[in-house]
Formats: sequence, C-alpha cells, structure tokens
Amino acid sequence: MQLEDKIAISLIGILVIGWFVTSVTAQQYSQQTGPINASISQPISVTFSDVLKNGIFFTNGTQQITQYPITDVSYDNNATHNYACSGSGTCYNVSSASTNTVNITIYLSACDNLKNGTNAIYLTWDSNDNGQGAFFANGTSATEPTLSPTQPWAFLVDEFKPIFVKLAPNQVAYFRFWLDPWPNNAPSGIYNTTYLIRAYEETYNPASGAGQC
Amino acid sequence: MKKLTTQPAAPVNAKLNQASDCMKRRILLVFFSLLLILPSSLAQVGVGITSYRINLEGKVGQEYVQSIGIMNPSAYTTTVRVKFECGNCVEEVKIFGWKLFEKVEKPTEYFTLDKEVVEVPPNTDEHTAVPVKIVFRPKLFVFKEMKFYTPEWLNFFIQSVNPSYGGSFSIPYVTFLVGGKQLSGAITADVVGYAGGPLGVIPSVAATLEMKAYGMPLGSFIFLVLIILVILSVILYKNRKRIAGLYHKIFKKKS
Repeated sequence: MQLEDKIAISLIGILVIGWFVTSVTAQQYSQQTGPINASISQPISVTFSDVLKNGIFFTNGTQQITQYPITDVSYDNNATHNYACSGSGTCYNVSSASTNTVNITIYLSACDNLKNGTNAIYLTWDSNDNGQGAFFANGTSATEPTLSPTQPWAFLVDEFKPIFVKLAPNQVAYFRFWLDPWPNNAPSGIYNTTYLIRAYEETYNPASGAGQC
Repeated sequence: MKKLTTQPAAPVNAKLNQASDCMKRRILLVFFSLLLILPSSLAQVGVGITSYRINLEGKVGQEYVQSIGIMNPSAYTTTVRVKFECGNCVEEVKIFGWKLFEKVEKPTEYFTLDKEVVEVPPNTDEHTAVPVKIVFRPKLFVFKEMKFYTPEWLNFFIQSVNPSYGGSFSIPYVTFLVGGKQLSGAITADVVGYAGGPLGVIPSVAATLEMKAYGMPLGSFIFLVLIILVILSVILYKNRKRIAGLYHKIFKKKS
C-alpha cells in the first residue's frame, strides 16, 4: 500500500469518527437553534413627577419649596418638596404605567457625591452623627415616607440602590429625601451631582451603576 | 309690591350676572395666561420600552433582527439614549485565588443597536413608539479582551512616563465561538434631554435581555483540530528528509 493510500484511508477513518462525535455532541445545540419566531410586545413604562424630574434639591432644616443654604450639618435636612404637596404630602413620585404587565423595581444611583470643585459632600452612609449621608424613604401614599437615617436607607454612589421594590402596574411610588451632610467641615459652596433613577423588571438584579450616567 | 320687589331685584341680578360673567372671563383669562406662562418644568416626564423582556437566540452565520420601541408618555419631546447594559460580560480569571486578569466580552460582537440616541415625540405609546432595531449576528470568530490591572507601586512608574495611564491595560484577542454563549443584561432607555425643561435626574427604564448565540459545536471543533493535526503530520512526514537536513545544518554547525 502506497503512503498516499494510507493517508486517504486514515482521513476517511477520521471523517467517520468526526461525523459520529459531531452528531452525538451537537444534538444539544441543534435542538436549540433556529430563528426568533415570537416577538414580545408587553411594555414597561414609567412616569416621573415634575418635581422629581427637576432634581432633588436639599434645603435647610425643615424649610420647604425654596432652597436655602444648609446651616446645620448635623441635621437631616429636607429636600425642598418633601412636604410641599397637598396635605403635606411629598411631591416626589414615580408612576408605573397602567399598560405594564409586570411589577417593577425602582433603583437610584447617584452619579457622584455632591461636588464643588475638589470639595465633596458624601451621600453614602456614615455612622457618625447617629447616621449621616443622604437618605430616602418610600411609600404608597404621599404622606407615608418616614425618615430612617440608617444604612439600608442611605444613597449609594455609582451603584444601584433599590428604592421601591415591586411596584405594581398603575401604582404610584412616593419618596422623601434628606441630607445630613458629611464631612461636617465641608467648605461653603454649591454642591452638585446627578441622579439616575431607573425602573427594572422586578426579577432583574442590575450588576452595577458604574458608568451608567 | 311685586313690582317693587322684582324691579329692584332685577338690576341686582343683572349686576351679579355681569359680575359673574366678568369674573368668569377673568378666571378664563388667568387660566389661559397661566397655561401660557407656566414654566414647562411643571410637566412630568416619562419613558417606556415596548417590551419588558427581549430574547435573542440564534446560530452562527445567520442574522436576526428584532425591533423594540421607545415610548414617551409625557407631554413634551424627549431625547432618549438607548444602550445595552451587560450583566455578565466581565469574568475574572484566577489562579490559586489570585486574580490574573479579567476576560471582557464585547456585546457588539454578537448584536448591535441601530440607534444610540432617539428623539421621541410626546404621547407615544406601543403603537406609535420610535423603533430601535437590534441586529443579532453571531460570528464564528469573536473578539474579546484581556484586561490587566497593574499594582499601585507599578502605576507610579508607568504614570511618570504616561500621565493618562488609568491603572489597567487591555489586550485584544480573537477566539472561536465554540458551543454556546449566553449574555444577560438589559436594554436601557435614559432620558437625557427634555423639551419641557432641564432635567435634574436621569429618568430611565430597562428591558431585560437574554442572548444565546450558538457557535461551532464542540464535536465539530474537536474534528477540526484533528484534521489540522493530521494535515500537519502529513506535511511533516512528507518533508521529513528536508526537516532532518535543516536540523543537521543548524545544530551540527553549532556543535
């Protein structure tokens, strides 16, 4: 037998073995492949109140509507519209559309700490001053959200914090916000940041808020 | 008496009517003026996606297109940024618990969105939503990245040469899509502009996405490797004398 014949027979043998191996191992894939044949059109939609859309502005002490410079840095200072709507209710809310068919969870991520140049007021939790940082509270009525200056209710920076879990279709989530600034020796000035508020399907768990802003 | 009572009453009523008409006009005037002068910042903003869950599934060599729509339930036009947020694109590669590098998947190797930013007219619902196409095209050769993080003590020296160095560097590489690849994450729609006034927050909504791309089956891959090995062996066998000559030339000369 010539060398070429040996090679040809070997190749045929390998082809047969390869065909057998492929047909056995590829079964799991061949059953799952195919074109997309169903298009889902069940929407997810939310509406933010005008006041929340404008931003979260912290004012001094218990002041409302107008933003004043914070003078007490050891106090949980109100956001401007915590109690400014009817019946001293909050004006901050997010509505789940009536056309939604799934519950949603609303997440908040501060894009950064409050910054003024190189100076910063931290929004994240700190245990001093009986708990300081920026806090939220939620509820299903405008008067329900109540301050709890503890870590579960503190803001996160560049990371998603669930601020309302399981909001049903056509339901409204109400929020109030407070700021106990730290460090307490932060220099005078206007400190800014942006917030990302995102609604996800209830079962989804977003990995990180980093780079999302 | 009736006349006396009714006659004076009539002008009073007339005055009252006149006054109430006048008041109505004033109220209407104030109302419409308010509508005109009210700051548009007093308008709420909304955003939606026509599908809360998107599934992409397909095999190499095929192209699939799926459309989603961006909705705007608010009264003013919104500018919406649409992007994919990956939940499992970064995988840590470790040896004895020590992180060597991060293996980074590029979702664009599997699917792309035809638009990144869309203008959404007011009051758009599922039927009038602005369409965004997801083009899903699994490929046999997939580009990935190895991301290495350098220690702080080394960063100091690198940054003295390259001040913009951020503490990590990436090496791209190409690989076969063998078996299947699953990516999960979310298509996000962030409102980045609003005709109704400035935005102090980024209102956003997300639809979960599951992608399953099927590449070359493992068996086929093994077969391909075998074929390559056989071809290599044949080439080496056929050229064994030449290779032996080369070996002698190189190593005998040295010795």
